Amino acid sequence: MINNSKYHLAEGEILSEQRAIEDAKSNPARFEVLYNRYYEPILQFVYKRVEGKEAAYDITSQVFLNAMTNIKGYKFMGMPFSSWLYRIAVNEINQMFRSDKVRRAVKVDEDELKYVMDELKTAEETESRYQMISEALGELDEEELQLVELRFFEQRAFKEIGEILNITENNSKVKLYRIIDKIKKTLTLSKKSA
Amino acid sequence: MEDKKVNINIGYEKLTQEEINSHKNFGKVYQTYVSTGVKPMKVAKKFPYTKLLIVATVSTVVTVGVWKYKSSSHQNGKTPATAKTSPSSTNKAVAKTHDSLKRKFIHPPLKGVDVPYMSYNVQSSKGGMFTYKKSKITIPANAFCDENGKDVSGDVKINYREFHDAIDFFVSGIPMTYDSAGKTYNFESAGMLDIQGTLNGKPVFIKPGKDIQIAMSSFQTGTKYNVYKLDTIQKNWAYQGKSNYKMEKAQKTVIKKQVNIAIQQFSAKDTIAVKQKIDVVKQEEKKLEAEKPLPPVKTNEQNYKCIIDVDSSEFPELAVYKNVKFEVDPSNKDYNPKWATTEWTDAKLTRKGSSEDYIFTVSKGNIKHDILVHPTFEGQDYKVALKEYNQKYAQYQTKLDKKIEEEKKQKEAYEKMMAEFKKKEAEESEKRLEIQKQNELLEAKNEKVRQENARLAAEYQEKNSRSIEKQKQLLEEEEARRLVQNNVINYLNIKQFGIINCDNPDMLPQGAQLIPTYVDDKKDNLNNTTVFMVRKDRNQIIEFYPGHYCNFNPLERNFAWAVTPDHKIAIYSEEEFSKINKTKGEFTFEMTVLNNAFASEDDVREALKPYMD
Repeated sequence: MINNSKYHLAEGEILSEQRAIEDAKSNPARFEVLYNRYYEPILQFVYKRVEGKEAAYDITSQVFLNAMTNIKGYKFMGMPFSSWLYRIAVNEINQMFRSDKVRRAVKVDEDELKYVMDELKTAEETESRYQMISEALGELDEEELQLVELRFFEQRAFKEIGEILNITENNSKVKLYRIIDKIKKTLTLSKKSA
Repeated sequence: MEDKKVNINIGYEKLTQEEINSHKNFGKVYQTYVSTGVKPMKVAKKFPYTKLLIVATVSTVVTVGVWKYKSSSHQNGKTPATAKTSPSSTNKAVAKTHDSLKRKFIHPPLKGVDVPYMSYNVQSSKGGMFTYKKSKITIPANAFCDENGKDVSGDVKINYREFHDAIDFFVSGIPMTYDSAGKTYNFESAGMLDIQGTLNGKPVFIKPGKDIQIAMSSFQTGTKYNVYKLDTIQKNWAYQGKSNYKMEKAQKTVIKKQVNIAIQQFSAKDTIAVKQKIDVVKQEEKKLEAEKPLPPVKTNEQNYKCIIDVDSSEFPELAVYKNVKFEVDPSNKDYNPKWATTEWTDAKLTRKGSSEDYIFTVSKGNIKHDILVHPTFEGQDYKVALKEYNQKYAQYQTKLDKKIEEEKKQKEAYEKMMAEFKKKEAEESEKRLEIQKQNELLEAKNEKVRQENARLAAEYQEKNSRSIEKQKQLLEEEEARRLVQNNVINYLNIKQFGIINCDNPDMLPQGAQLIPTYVDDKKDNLNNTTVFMVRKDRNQIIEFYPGHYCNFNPLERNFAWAVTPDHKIAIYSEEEFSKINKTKGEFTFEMTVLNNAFASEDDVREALKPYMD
């Protein structure tokens, strides 16, 4: 079970980030602090969801451009700044998918798949099992896939998932449990057909 | 499964730290942000690549076709520095996607409504002059060339228009902000013009050294205005200079010109005639002087004499006398009495100036003698001559007196005219100085009012008390009183076609900064539209883009409007502004939608006029 998001910031870090945000609001050149802090996480976030490195670089640049232009509208209301950036990234990626110019990808490590295995209460880690799970993931729609990615592959807290996808914490929980059931059913069917 | 776009990639190729670092470049993102002047909008607005490519293509065409005003985004009070790097030279990927976020640089907000051009044909080889309302445009001969710098011939079509108030600025969609040294200013305008030239539909250019001179009529007082040219490539205004555009100087030039014209007219019509009369009189006096009779002199028996037959028309001073004998002056030491009996082949008498001395020249072959002689009279002839002289001299003197009197009279007339003219000139000069003085006083007063205004705004914001309301009212009344409209001429030398602006860059108004929500009278959201706010006490329009704060000075007279999605105008009146009781935090502007249809600028003017006064 995931208890604490690795993306969690300590209170001091939040205060420091708030100062950086206020600085960036008054002078966009000072956005650099935030850019340097979040460039790699955002790039990795994007890269794991799209095919091709160049597309990932382009989308990441656009995410920060959007963030710079909208930072004056950002208000800290309990939601971390990083969640705001990830939300921009999710929207940008979705837009690219809808235009059919960028292909959706789900890039995952074997280690990250273990979390799915844990949740699905299966101990099998064979090649065929991975194949079945990947096929089951392929059956999910975009929102479902995002929830799986955020929760199992990136180990984010439900609160943060809600902030990124703009849904409530409870809603993200409910939806994820439904997705798990859906995957389980798919896996059962695959097992039987095999 | 084959149709699924999702590609599940287990154990994918990781990005290396080197790859990440090589693409981590805040400078490029920042340059793109600055150079394209992107505006805040809803987070992650969607822009399909297909559209992006079309926009990027249009942008490229526009960059090449300098003459047309298209492409790009609005400048706004958010960009922190001027940037000279084009998107294509920075981060291609960013620029490509980023173009989609831009609005057109010149963006008339009402479809089909713009300030119309007036067209004039000017023969390139001759140049010409035309007027637009109260402005005068002068084009020198051979002023145009083509894109290769070659002279063009034929009728060049000049398209010309001017912008003078908030409604002109609004419908034109020309950005009225100026980015300088990392700050964004809003223009307070003293007039703007747009001039273009084409030959057979192709753009022509102004040749170096062949500036087009424009005397642009304006209504704004003050000396604070600079001149800017709109750079549609860099998407910013380029500072051109400050001098020659001061209202006082322009006014002085006009008056000076008027005085010069007056002198020319005066000289041509009146003084020349008088002077000619004086000259005639003087010539007549000179002629009369030649007729002045010489006093007769008695013959000296000791001196030699000769009789010379003179032509009275040649020597009018002698014409009155009879039996004149020319006496040889004793100074002629070489005089030989035999000369009197010599047959000379030529003889000539010449008067020495207006004296009584004459030179009698005789010659024969190589021999020539100049003999100094004087006219004299013997015996009774002298008496007759003297009597004749007295009569003729009296007649001469009478004539001369008349001429002198006539000359005096003409001179007096001339002097009177000059005195009148000098008086007029002095009056004009005095008037000019008075205008200058008034303008200086007015500007000083305006500056004082502005300073007081700013001070009260700060005080108002700090105290936010009701007692300031009274001061506000008084201040408004004072500002209303000092609002005068003078007819000012701004003299501009145009070196390139384009949009030229006489402006004063001004910071955003201070006093209140609200987080606005704009809705119409049906509570429908207007947050995605730009709101235009007029500072009624200045010739200034401020654009608040979606997501921006609404900054205004509660002590000023403000009025705002927005264009609704169905191309109507929703207004927020001065009265409503005056009732806003907060200076910070969120505020909902409930705007009233006007039912007018807008097909022309006049329609817009008619609809907004009741709120502008």
